[in-house]
Amino acid sequence: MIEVRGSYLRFRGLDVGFGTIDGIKINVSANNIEVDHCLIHNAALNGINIQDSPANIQIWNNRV
Amino acid sequence: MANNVFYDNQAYGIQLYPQANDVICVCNTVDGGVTRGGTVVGSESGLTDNVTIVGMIGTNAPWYCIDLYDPASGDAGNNTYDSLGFGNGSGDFRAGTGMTYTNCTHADPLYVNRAAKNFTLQSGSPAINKIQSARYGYVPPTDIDGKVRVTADAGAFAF
Repeated sequence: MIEVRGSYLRFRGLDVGFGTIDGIKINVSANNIEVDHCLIHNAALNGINIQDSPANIQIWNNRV
Repeated sequence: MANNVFYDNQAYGIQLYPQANDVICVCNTVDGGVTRGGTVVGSESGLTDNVTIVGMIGTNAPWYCIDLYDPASGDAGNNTYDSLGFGNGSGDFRAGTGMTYTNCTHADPLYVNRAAKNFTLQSGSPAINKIQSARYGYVPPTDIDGKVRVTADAGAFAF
């Protein structure tokens, strides 16, 4: 699993598989995050989990 | 969120809950699911407002294409436009407080090969040019594969 709490980050073209909870979790205080052209699969719960009021999140062109 | 494909996920394909204000969700395809599938919009106490969904294709979910969860009946200003539902176990577009549906219809999107997870559109698909002119400004210029969107098609794949 990838957990994001930072700022101004782009994740592009990643293959994220078999997360024990979520594939990618964008959590509290994260901002200006972009997830683009990623393959996110076989997560135990959510493919992409955006929670607790992060800001300016863009999710583009992904297969989940 | 734009041009994404979600399929065969454990719970919802897209969960806009709780405190998911001001989300714009455009041209996504959501198919199947193990327990729920589809998309949920809602909150516990009226905190998911001003969500805009345009050009969603939601198919073959155990529950709904668009599900609402708003036990406090406090969500407001959420809108779903120009979307298709088909083959969903509980129905396509769940009625409830806070969500308005416009040009949302029940029709088979005619995927090229759903079994092979090919969610591109066949000729004659009702998803082709489904998005009305008032929402053209939401349509991305290209689709998930970088193909130019000539018509305002619902879903992640341009025809």
